[in-house]
Amino acid sequence: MTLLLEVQGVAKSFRETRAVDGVTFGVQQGEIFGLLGPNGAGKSTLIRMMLDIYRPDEGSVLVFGHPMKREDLDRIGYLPEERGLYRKRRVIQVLRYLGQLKGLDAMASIASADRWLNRLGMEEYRDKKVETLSKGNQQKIQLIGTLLGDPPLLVWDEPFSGLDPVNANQVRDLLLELRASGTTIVLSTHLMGQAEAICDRVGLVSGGRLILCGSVPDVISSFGGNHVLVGTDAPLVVGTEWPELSQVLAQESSAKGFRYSLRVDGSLQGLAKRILGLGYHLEELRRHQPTLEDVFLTAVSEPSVSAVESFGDAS
Amino acid sequence: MTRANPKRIVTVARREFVATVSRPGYIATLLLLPLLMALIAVLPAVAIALAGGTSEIMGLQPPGETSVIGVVDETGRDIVNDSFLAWHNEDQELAVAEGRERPLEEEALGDKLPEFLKDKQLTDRSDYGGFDGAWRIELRRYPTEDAGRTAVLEGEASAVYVFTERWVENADVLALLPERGAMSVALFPGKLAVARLVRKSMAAPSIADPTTLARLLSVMETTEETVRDPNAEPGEESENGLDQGIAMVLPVLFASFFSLSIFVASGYLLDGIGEEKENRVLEVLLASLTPEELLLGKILGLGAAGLLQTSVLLVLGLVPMLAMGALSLGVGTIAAMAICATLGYMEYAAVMAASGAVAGNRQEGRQISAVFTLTASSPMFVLPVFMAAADGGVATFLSLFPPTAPMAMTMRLGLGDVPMWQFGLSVFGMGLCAWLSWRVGSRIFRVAILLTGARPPLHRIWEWVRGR
Repeated sequence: MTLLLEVQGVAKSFRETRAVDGVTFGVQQGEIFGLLGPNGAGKSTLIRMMLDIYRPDEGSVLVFGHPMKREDLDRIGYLPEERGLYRKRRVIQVLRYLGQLKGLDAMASIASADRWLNRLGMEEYRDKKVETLSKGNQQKIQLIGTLLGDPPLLVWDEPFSGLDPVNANQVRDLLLELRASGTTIVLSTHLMGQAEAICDRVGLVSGGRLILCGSVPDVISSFGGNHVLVGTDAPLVVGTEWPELSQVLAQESSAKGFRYSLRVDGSLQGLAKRILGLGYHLEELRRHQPTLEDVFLTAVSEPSVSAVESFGDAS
Repeated sequence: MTRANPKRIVTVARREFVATVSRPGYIATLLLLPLLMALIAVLPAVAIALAGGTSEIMGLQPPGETSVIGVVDETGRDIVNDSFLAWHNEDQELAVAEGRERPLEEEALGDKLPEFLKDKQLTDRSDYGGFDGAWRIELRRYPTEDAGRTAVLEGEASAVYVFTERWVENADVLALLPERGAMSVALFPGKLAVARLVRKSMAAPSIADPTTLARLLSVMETTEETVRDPNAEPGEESENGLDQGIAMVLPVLFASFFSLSIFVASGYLLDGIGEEKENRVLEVLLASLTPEELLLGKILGLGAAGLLQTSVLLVLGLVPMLAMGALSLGVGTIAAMAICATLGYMEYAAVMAASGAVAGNRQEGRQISAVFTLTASSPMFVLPVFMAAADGGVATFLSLFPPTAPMAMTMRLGLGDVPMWQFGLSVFGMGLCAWLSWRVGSRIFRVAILLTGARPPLHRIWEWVRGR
């Protein structure tokens, strides 16, 4: 597969803070690559270096097979995390301007804007002022702004933030449609469910480092350990003397009791025996397939993960 | 990344220009500027009124009363004809009685005049000397210049015009004016009355002498002198300060308008960047533009918006002022002022943009940029120094020091001649400073444009300037 984007050992510091520390990965043509990580992990800084907004202190970035050139900006649709629009202008004026900045002439820009407005059911807002639109609709206008001119590479930072479930699904369908048409997409998101559903491959960034990278099934299946769901009548007090328990991945409480997602190293029977032996009432105990969210939670809480754990081809 | 894309720069410039000129604030300013200029044009009248009354300052009697304007004929050619002088005064009295505003027989006289005398001055209504509805002028002959001086000094005459013996050769008329007031423009009614008298006196006989005929084309070119009391204490400044002050303030005010266009355009730049930071549009733009392209496009577009304002100022403000004689600036001087304003804008635009980028919001941006605004406008704070000596040490230094040169040099140009080498040196300095400003401003802009939160300390900004 052709690599459309190659990040090679990039690092960036702000004062004494190492925001990105030697990150390497590649994005293949026509795939959706998910860049995952907690807040402050360095995702946005990494993206800004990919687009030459920030210059890396170390390493390099190749776009379309070469270091970024001025004209490459016209072939990349970028939706930053920190985003907004000219609030006092009309939607079509803003989109025409954004299209012109991508090298389209005014007519082509308007035509492209109209096409995408229709595609996303936003044509009624065409001549309205941006400030009159809801936050979700403004978000969709921003998405359209990145699609003008049909760039072959999209870099979207948190595209689902601010969208209700209906609009989030619409954007998810759009992403899948774009991938089907050959567009390469780099997606940064907190929504692990969305990432798991639509990403071909993911890279997990934590503390400025890439700690996991690979296809979604590989990352999940290679995550290791048995994963179980446990329901109890009282909060579990997990002691260090629980050798069969590797990690508490997630927990939630409700009127019905307490529910835990656990990674266990020992047998399920052994775990059940220990819980019952401590006087808990066991409401539920079953194996379950770990999700990308489980992987995410585990990985970011394990400082010992110090190197890229790559599944299959890292690029 | 490779060099900038001119097409994108033009796109940004066009957008910034259109967005700015369609703002209500801009349109309001555009409409108010001519009004402001009109106010400046009538400043002399305002100053006169503030100084205690129109007639006193003008050296004429109040409206409705008759003022005496003296004439001394030393030419030896009888250019002041007594019969016409008497005719004027009688006609004036009759006009008062009849409530008439036009001289009698004016049209008939106009018909008799040779073609070359039927110029605008003669046919213009304002040329009906003493008949403008307010001022009543009695013309009176004085035998000698000394007698005229005495008449002015004693307040008998509001002004005395002495036609010297060389008048036929050089058109030199000495206007003896009272110590207070005596603005040549304000004394126009009296001056015109005398001019009309002379023309009549000369046109009535047969006009055979070609020299005389030629002279009639230029009836009076006055050299004005304020008459002082010879017994006054030495050192007592008896010069007509108000008159001179107004004459000097007008070009300086005009020059300052030129300079203000620097701050207006820079202010738009600052506000525009602040607004984009607040709206979080900047990073969206940086997906398609390099920071340098964005900055240059903004500077050009908003500079054009400032230029439009200056052009409106020129067309609606300057032309009427020149026509009214309230401003006497040559085309070369105005062009030189435009050069200073352009370079001044280029000097301050990039650093203003950098201020906007460093600041968290528009208000903070204005606070930071105040340092530059104050520096650039500091010559205005020492305006009296410029007016006292436009070519003095302080004024010269400020006009050569690049940060203050745009305004200082423009003011000096308005006040009088500036040696060419000084203007050249000043332009060179401003150009150099503009280049440095771009280098420094664009580096700060590139790094600071995406900053959020607390304003970076100075040493951090210095590191950006050094490219770290």
